[in-house]
Amino acid sequence: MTTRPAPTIQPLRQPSLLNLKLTALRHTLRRGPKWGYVFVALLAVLLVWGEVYGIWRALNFLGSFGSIGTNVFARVLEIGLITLSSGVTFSATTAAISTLYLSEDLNFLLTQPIKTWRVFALKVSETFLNTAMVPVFLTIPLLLTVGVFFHAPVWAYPLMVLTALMTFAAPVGLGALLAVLLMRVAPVGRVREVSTGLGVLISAGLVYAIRALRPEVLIQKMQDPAQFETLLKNFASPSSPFLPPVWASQSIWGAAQGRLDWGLLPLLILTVGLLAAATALATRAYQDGWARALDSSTPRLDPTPKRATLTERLFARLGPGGSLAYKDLRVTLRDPTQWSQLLVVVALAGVYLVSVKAVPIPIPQFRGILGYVQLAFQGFIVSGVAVRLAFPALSTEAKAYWLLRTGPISAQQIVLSKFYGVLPVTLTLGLVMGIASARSMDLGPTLLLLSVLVSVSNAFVITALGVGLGAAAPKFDADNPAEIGVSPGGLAFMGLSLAYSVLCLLLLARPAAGSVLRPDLFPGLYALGTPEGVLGLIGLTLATVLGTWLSLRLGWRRLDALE
Amino acid sequence: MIEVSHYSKRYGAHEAVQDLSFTVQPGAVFGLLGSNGAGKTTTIRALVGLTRPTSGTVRVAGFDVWKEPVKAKAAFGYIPDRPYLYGKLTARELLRFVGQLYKVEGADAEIDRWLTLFRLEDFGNELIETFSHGMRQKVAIISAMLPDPGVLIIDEPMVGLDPHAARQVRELFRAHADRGRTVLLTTHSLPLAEAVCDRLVVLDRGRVLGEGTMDDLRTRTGTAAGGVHGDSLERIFFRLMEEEQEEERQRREVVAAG
Repeated sequence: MTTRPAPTIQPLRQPSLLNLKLTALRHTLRRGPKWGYVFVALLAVLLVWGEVYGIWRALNFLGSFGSIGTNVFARVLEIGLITLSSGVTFSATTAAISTLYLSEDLNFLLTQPIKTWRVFALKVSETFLNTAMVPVFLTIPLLLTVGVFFHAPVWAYPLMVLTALMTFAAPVGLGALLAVLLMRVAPVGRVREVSTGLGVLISAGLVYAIRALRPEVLIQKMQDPAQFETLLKNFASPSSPFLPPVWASQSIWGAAQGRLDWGLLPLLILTVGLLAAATALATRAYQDGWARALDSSTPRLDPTPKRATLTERLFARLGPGGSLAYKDLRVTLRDPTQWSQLLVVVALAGVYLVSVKAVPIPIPQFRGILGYVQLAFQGFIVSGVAVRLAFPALSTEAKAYWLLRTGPISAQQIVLSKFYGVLPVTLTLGLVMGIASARSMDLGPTLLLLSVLVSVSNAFVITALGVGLGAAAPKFDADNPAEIGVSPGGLAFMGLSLAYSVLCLLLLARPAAGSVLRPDLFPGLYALGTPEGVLGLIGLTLATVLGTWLSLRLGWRRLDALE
Repeated sequence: MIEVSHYSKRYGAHEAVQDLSFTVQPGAVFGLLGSNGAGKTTTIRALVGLTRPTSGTVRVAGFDVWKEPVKAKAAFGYIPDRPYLYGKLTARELLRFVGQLYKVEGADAEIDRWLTLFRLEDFGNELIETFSHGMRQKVAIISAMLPDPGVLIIDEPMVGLDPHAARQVRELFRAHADRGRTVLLTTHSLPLAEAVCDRLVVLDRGRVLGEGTMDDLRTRTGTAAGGVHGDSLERIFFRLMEEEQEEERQRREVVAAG
């Protein structure tokens, strides 16, 4: 008889939730289209290169004017960080409610013998990825370029990256905290609706309240419209010492020039504090909130048939596409994760406009240049809106898509219906931002007209790109709507739409520069009548028509071939 | 009418369905039987335009589903095995939307009639997200029946239905075929298949094991009608499976010997 050594008993390790997610991600990547990844990687490289090249050129150009020029850049950095972090703040609560409470895997995770705070931490990390990954991806190359330009010391680079991460982690911590609080206190039966609505309103209110640390002054000033406007302007002023993104901006700017700025400390305290408070609260209230979220609206039985409204009948007269558009409108207005995005649109546009209006640039040429360059920022904001409304338009059909797929409606009708449904929102947003910012910066007639044209072009092409790429690579099985934009297709959309915004600027750069730098030679709209102006306008028209058509065509052809 | 001609579906190296051909005439209920992974749902998905055939053609009401999709889809109603519907619409709103897509005349009255038939009249104005699985399945069935389609394609119709609704649905399919319509269904329920199907195809791992009427299959397998309701088809089904397993065993022995 032979004896075998007793098997050594390995101590049981805690299963890693992160590993579980990473394994799932690895399988998804392995099964996904390889050409798609190559395309996204190529696009990312091009985007980063374009960003670095553009920033380097801008710094060189502005640096030639001395400290006034580099200060202009510092202000632009502040506006950028305020806008991006406001966007993250506004969407973080909605995303946190979706991710923390409505993800399908919670049914599995929260019924396993796993500590609640670990599941919570995983879901907060997912919320960060869903809301802040794109802003982080866009910000880091910018910061590193600034660092290299100013010959920053080695320690400054990790510090700048950490600052950028904290800038976007703070709103996510706030969103998670609010989500846990609201899901705990909202009335049963309407938990999702009430929490999401309140979450968005509170997030927007908090952004404003950060500045209004003295509420009695705020109330006093709100009674006087002129003073209220000044207050709003001061709040949004890039030099506001009470806005966390400004702390971040000062810290980054200081680090790039070899200085350790005080702004880092309050940012660190705020971020760690918010995340710690959210985790502490979650250990007590998370599971309970999740159980409450499972109780959706309760039925109130009423046998009286409710017939179609006049609006529904009007939409139905447009054919299957019209019926689909009305169905989408109805579902959007009833789904808090979708209608709250409309509030985000309004809030983002408001913060952006107030920020732009408050930029103190006395030299007209600088104002003109900034006024033209900020059109690219506007393109980015429209993309930020489109990634929430246009890109998920097809994916939000979710598992009910079979109804359309097996119904007598073509892929072309579906894609066009989605496009016409989102276009009014993006077009209104683009035009309001384009006209209001041009007027508030007192730009000349050429730049005002170009703002309008670029806004219209951006709205058409970016919406079409969003709907088209979203239809080409739909994600019907997303755990929650916030996930849909964070996919290779979503990143490709952000990259392409940003590239399109820059292309629009390049097409019309010559007439714009002429009208700004030589107003004596090109008064009024004269710059647009020059050969460069005419060619630029023709180029913009062609880019708009082709960009819109080709994007939508790609969408319906790929959707038609989808299995 | 449904015509499936030399239909094959391959996913990479795996062949889900091999060279399947059958025709379903108007007035008939046709059943696709088979165990899990037999290829029933893959076939249904090709018929309703959810999966493109690797080879072969699928035609509904004379239209190739992949060449003239909108015409083909206007001709059939489809009931999936899992009734995913828009949770944020009420049952009436969803059914009106379906009525608009299919251009159903007098849709409101028809919707009321169907809701009453399935005892859902009190729930017509409620959001579908508040419905149980069985109630959703009933709404999915109504949405397929509302346009009174010439061809009805059903994937596992009885999942989640209570006994009353299950009997109602069985009678509904039979009556639909008796009015000169075409009905194709897949099911695991052998009693259901025996009760309503005029012709059957038994599939296993993508291949046809047997095809024909109940009498054809009895003759082919040498089984007689059973005493218990449904027992007969059950015996035919398992006999076909045993034959297939025996053939597979012999093939392996030949390969091992050679």
